[in-house]
Amino acid sequence: MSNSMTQNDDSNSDQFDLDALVSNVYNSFRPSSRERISREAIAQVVAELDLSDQALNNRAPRLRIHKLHFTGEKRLRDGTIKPINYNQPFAPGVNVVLIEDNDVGKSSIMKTIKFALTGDNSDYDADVRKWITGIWLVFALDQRLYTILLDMIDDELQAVLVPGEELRPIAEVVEAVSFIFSVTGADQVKAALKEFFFQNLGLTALSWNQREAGGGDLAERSTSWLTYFQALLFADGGHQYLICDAQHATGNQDGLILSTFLNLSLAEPLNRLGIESSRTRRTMQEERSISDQEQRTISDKIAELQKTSQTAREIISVITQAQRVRRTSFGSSEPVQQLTEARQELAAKSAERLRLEQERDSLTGQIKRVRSAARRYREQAALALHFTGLTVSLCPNCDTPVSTDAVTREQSTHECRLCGTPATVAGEDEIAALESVADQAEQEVLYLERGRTAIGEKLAELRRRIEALESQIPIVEQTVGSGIDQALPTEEENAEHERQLIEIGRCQGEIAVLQAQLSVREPDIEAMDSRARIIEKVRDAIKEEAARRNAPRMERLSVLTQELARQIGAESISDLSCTPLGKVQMRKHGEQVHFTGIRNEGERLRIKLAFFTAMMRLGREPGLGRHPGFLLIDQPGSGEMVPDDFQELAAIFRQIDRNHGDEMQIICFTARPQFSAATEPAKVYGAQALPYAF
Amino acid sequence: MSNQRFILDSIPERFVEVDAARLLLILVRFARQPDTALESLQCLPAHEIVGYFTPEYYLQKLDFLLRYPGYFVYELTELYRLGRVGSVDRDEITTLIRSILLNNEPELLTTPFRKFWRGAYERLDDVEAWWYGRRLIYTGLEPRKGARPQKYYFVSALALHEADRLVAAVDHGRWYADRIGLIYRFFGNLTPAEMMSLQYSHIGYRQAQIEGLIPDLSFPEITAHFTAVFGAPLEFADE
Repeated sequence: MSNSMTQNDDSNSDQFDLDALVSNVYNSFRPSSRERISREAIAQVVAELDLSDQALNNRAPRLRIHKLHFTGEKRLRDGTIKPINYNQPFAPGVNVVLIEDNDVGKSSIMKTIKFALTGDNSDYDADVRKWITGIWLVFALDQRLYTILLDMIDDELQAVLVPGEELRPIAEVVEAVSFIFSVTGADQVKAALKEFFFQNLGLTALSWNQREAGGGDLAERSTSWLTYFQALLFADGGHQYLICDAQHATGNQDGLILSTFLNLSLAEPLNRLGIESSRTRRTMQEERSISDQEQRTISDKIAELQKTSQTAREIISVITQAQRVRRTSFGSSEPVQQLTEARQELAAKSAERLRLEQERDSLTGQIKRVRSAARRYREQAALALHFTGLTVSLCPNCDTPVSTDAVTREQSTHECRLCGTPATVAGEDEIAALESVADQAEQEVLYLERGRTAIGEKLAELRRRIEALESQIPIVEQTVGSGIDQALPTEEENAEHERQLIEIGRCQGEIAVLQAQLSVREPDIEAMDSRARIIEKVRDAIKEEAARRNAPRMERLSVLTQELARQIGAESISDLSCTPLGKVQMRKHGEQVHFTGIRNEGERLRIKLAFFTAMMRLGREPGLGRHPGFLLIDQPGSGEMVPDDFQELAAIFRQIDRNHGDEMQIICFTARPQFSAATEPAKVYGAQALPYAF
Repeated sequence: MSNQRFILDSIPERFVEVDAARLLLILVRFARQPDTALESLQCLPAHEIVGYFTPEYYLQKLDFLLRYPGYFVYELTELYRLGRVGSVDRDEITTLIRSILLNNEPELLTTPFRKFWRGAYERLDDVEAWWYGRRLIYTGLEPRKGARPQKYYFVSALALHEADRLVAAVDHGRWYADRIGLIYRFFGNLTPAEMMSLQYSHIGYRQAQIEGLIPDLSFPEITAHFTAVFGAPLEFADE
């Protein structure tokens, strides 16, 4: 992206040439992508952004605590009740609240200041929260003096912000003084203080997307005053992170904080685009998974509905078929004729069967006779030979034995030995003839059997046809007997038909709706994808411009940081800058490192101190930063284990106080006696209710 | 040698040797031992005999069972139903019946019989002469007062010999002998009148024309009777 996207006007504020921006973004897409991504869509995204960058030249006012006063009642472990009346003025530069003991209330003082400035008392120990019932914090924004009064009345928080210093009871102040705000309720107090400081410090709410607890929906969160206050506070153990602890590091909150306090250009539109890109991509992902899951669910539903519809159609088909059979049996209109024809055919077939059976039986009888005759012929042939030696020797008529003369005569003259009549002899030729006739008879039997087999086949076919007619005729008779009503649809059939038609209609309707859902899904995801890609391209273009605009700022930040780093012994950091999205980039001995990648805790503390100091100093320079120059540090150097290191650290603070005390205010809360050297003796404060801080 | 003559293109219906052999076997099997009843007979032959058989219609009825295996099976079933088969095992009878029908004997071995006044009857004059001339069976008619003469058949020793020789040498003879043996076993204790009564119980038998052929029983008739008596289906080769 080139400078051609910006225009310089008389006020020396860069303004975007929106047309050039749109064109550049459009041209950055591949030709294939340009078929579905239009200039108009890009222009629409650009039009939704505020690219004015009006806050560029503003400088945040310097925040300084003048005085802290709080009252209450302390309930000690031994049961005694002691009144609390703490009063502590503070000076510019480094202030040290030094009480050489732990658990005496030092941190509570810091938390009270934080409570007064933000309305958040969640850091309090539970007992301390109940002890302190009235707070007066006098502070200044540049030269303007304010007092925030907090009071716990009947367990309800009341807050009043008034101009000037005001240490009277809150009830009295409310009545007597014009207040900037007077609110009741913890949330209302936070909201009022947020509005006040946002307005006066020129802070804007930047957003991030955060998933709700338990993996719920994606929610957009905004930077609150409490969010930004993290850049005004070194908590105990704060050397472990640069801006936000792990709990608050989600959604690039530290980047958002730095974007504001470093007055990075185009932070708001970049933030907006980042939010929308992130949300769009997450939504697309969810839509896709939902879409895939939904598609499967919809497809399953469609399949189920189609199956139900098919079943209904089959039921209708069965009903229709049954009706058709009845109508067919009833005929196109002549059931009686159909019945008559069936009966006639049955009668004819039965008669034919009877005839064929008789013919078969006749053939059987004939076969038997012919076969019997053949057998007789065979028997006769066999017996004729067998009985050859058995001759007639007695006259059956007169019972007279046959004489030998009669036998001789029979043999010579062929006269019967019994009666003398001529006798002929059956010879072997007759036996052969018998055999031959038997053969012929058996051949005839075979022929007759073939005929009988053919008749048997015809009879089988007739039997089948007769059985079919015998099963059909009763149906037709019933139809005729019932009249035409039998062929018409029954009431039950009509009802069932209608029921199934309704079911089919319902299924078809639901299928249409589901299919419409399927078809609508895809284009939504495609549209989302196009928009997300446009947003990312626009964001890249704006980021590039922001980097260009931020360059002088970053250069100054790096200089200030390195300068202080040298002062406080963190020379290893050779370069420090911040991306347009607020991501800190630092180089250690020329190598890019991350803050948490620096293993030495003391080094981390020094780098953080150098960075914060640079940031606070940057805020004092017009157009370069927005940090209000105020810092609370609880237990500085808690990671330091060696007394010499504490001394060294104290010397660093002393250096800061000397060199930059008029630019910022740092209030340290420590038990380390070495920190008495961290500032001027007059700015070292001790316990006000020995051994307790208050 | 046969006395029967035939010309090659004219085959007679009956052959005397065939009838003579078959009936000889029946007479030999069923003949009684000579007893005191013979002493008073006027028709007793002068030749030596070893047995006698009477009356003629009994021979015809026995011949009918021999020539109609279908009737044999049916009557055997009926005898079982009537409890007239003595100690014969049920399974033996059913096995015998199934065997006869499985071999398709009603179709293959039925020799049609002509009916006369008293049922199955065929003239046996030629057969009787054939026997007599060969000294096998002597036929005699014993006069009775007020009744037709009763025919007696007197069996010679030669008849026994020829019967044995016939069974040993000729297949038909063996088959006839076996079946006659079964008839004797199952029906031997029936009187001639009971035999006639059994056969007359069939409508086809009763209604057959005089001198017409007696129709055989049908397979459905035989199987239905079998199933009704023995309570089991009778499966055999279909006609």
